[in-house]
Amino acid sequence: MTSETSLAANMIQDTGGISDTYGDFIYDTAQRYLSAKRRHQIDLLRNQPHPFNDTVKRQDIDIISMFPSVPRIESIKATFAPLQEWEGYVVEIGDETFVARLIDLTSEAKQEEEEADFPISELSETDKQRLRPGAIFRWAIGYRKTRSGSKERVSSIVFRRLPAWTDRELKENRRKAKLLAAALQGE
Amino acid sequence: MRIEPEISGVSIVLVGSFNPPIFHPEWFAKHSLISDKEKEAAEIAIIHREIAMFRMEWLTINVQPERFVAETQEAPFIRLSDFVVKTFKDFLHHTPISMMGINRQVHFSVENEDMRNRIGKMLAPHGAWGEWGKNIEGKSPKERGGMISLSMLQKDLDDRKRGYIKAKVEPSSKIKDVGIYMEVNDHYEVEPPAQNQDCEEIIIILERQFDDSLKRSEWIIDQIMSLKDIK
Repeated sequence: MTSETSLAANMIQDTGGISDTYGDFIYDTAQRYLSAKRRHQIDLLRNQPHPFNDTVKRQDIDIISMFPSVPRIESIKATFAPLQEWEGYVVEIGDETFVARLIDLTSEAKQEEEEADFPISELSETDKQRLRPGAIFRWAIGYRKTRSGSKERVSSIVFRRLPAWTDRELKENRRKAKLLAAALQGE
Repeated sequence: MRIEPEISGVSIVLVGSFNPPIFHPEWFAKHSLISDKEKEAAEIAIIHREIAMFRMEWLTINVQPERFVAETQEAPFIRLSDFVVKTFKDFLHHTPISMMGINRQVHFSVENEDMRNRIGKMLAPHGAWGEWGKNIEGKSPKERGGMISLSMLQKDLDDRKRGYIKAKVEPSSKIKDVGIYMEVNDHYEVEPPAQNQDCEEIIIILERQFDDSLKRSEWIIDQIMSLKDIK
């Protein structure tokens, strides 16, 4: 509801200010948004006296259709909830596979306990470009369910896109590193 | 979670001051936040000064001047957090953002209508409604009434200066008769908006809390799922 009102308000601004009459505003809007056939029909109506402000004539014109419809995105048809998830980092890259060390996030493991081989062909084109030693990724397995009721087992690997360190974070990390180094030297 | 959800999603909602038209697939691709392939496949509903809305294979974006929403139904969910963190930390760090919600939503089935009704009554007993409570049940299962929405709030939290956790339970609108919808809103606020001139504080919270937040939300959802096992 809010969006519709805002859109209509901005359309008035787009036409270069508020039209003198509501009829003119509708006419201007129709010229911009309707098909040539419909515009021609409105041109004919405009030649009659006060066509847009006559309530009888309004039955001939679908005013609602002159405004853009409320934006809507078709709902997502599938959902993939993980049954188990790991975080891993790449140790070695071969011709067809890569080796990674994994931490089991589902069992809340604190350190890597497993090593696994993954086929490079399972990666998306975007993730293939991110494949390099040390790269961090998430691996989730579970079922993808569709609204139509089908269910398939899925394994999905996504390489993480981490942000750059900020100055504040770099300073903080250096401070912590110095403290750690001092503590180690003191031992 | 002890019951595998039929529909499962995560959304990140930011409240602040945004400029919707810049949130275009083209802009995200230009900054390598999405790939060219993702950009080309994006379905744009609208890009306007008041609202930007588009969807890619795994991500839906909806931006209005005071609200940014990114949503996914595809695990691994960390991809959503990485996307939002990188967008605002690397490219839009001067955006004033004062509130954030990390939201977990699921629709799950409890297999039969009787079970769903029983769980509804555990959460909201009809007896508390006095004489009218007797009428809520209806004359037949088809005409049965009952709880339509229940929200619970936790305010006293040690991991944030301001905020709360709000959990909502409702009959599912997607799984007819046997489904339950649950939504957990993990809400964070920074200092009063007037003093908040950028998004650094809220984005650091997102970066640090996302995994734990989802874990806690799923634990809360699991409490309600466990009612199915009570004899």
